[in-house]
Amino acid sequence: MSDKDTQGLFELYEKEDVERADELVFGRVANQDRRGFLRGAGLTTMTALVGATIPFAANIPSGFIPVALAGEDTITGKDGLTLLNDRPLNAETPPHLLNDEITPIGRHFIRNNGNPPESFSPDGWMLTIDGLVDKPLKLSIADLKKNFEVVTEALTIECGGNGRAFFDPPAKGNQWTYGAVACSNWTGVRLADVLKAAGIKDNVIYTAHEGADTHLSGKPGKLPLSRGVPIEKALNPHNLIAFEQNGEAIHPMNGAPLRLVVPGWPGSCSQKWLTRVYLRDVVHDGAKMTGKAYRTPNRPVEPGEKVENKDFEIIHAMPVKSLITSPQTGATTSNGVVEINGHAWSGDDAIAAVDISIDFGATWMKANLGAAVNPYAWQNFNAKVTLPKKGYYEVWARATSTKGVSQPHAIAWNPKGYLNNSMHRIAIRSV
Amino acid sequence: MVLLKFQSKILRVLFVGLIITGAAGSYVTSSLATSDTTSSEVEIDELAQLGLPLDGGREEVEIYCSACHSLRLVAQQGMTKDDWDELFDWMIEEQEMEEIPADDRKLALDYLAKHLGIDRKLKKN
Repeated sequence: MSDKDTQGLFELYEKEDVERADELVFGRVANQDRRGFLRGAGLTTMTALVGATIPFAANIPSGFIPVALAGEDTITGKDGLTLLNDRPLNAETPPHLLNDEITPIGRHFIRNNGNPPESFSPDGWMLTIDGLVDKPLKLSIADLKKNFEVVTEALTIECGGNGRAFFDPPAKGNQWTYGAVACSNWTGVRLADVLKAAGIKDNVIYTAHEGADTHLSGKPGKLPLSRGVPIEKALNPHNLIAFEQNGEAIHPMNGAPLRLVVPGWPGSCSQKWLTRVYLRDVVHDGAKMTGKAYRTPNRPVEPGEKVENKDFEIIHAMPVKSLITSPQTGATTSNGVVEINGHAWSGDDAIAAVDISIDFGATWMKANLGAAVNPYAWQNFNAKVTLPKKGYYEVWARATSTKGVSQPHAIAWNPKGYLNNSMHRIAIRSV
Repeated sequence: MVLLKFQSKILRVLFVGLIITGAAGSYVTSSLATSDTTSSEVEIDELAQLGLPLDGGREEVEIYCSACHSLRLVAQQGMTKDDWDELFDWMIEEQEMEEIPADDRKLALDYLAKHLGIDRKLKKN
């Protein structure tokens, strides 16, 4: 039963009189002692939905929706995401649901640091550009559209902690596996154009971003997230102040009605529910810019090693990485031939090659690699592998960037569990 | 008919999946079953389902650790007792958490170190 169907089932029972909903869905009519007699077609319907016979069907009370139909955790407007946390909301996409070249809105992961704002309406939404600028600006979304060139680009956003779940010993934070990454089409204006319109003063070295989300504690004025980037990165023409996702309104949990998209760096640089960008002459020190947040040690460390705060450095570009999105891990093949599909991306660089192995890295073959539709879009790869005999195999994918850097075999452990770009492996059985 | 409608609502609340609401309203619905007291139903330990088994100290964790964030965040972690202790300090100093009375803090820390230590197995869907 699809998530949409499940949602509809709940909504029906919420809205309708329960007995009416029963009748509509299952043809079930309640008798006086509140048992719902499922007869004929109704019982068949419920049996089919649950996927098994129901020995105690006669006992089911009116209005009862079997737990089996309650489905996975569902998020409004999202399709198949795995819920890591509901407060704050954090949900990732299973790799096999990321197969589209452009990630649908329903499949874009959600990473919230705090509580979302009360309203996501573009009406009355204002963006302030100030700090060390010649002329502070206060712009509505209509102002942005009117005064700046509007562009649409496919841009890769990845959470800095994607892959954290595989750290041993465990690292603190949301335990993302593979799916805190997406590449949707974003429509907006260039951050660079807006900053230049305000006039960047000579002593500016960093940006600072603010959004309308609120801190989990509820303390007024305390921001859950306020990061920034060096001004050189900020002026990259592929950073957008975005107001559309795949040609539609941005999903509320992806930052509607206005957000930054700063691709190639940790997703936390891409402030959601954007209200302000200000320019500074010091490295920004807002929420989650200091301490160990989005920082890694300034030297390689042993798993579990304690590192002092002063020895941490801010993460800049994300590392080279790839994901096998088809087939789903655990697939079987009867003729030994498997078509492999996936995507690869690398910080501020492009991908030079993707190699595939079916023998645990002993030998490699080159995958077909597509060009990026624009810089910072992920690149699609495919390969046809032939499994030599029946049995269990793993398909490994290894991407190499245009800087000649490949994905490693193992995790470079760091205390906060960032930047796991070790190779993705899926299991396939030739039967 | 009034009586029937009332009964119907109770049944609906008992058996339909729990709706979890965040501060911004309900964007998430969850399939965690509610517990029920009729003799024919099995009581389901929701917290154990999340990865927090029944044991001494769990109540303290429940009380002190869900004011700001869900217990799902807690259940994902795996740390030494020292690191849990340090995390408490950080939350108090930087994230507006209230100080925990010493007795309760010890109970919570002991529980977390025992059930969410560095060798904990992540609950994967």
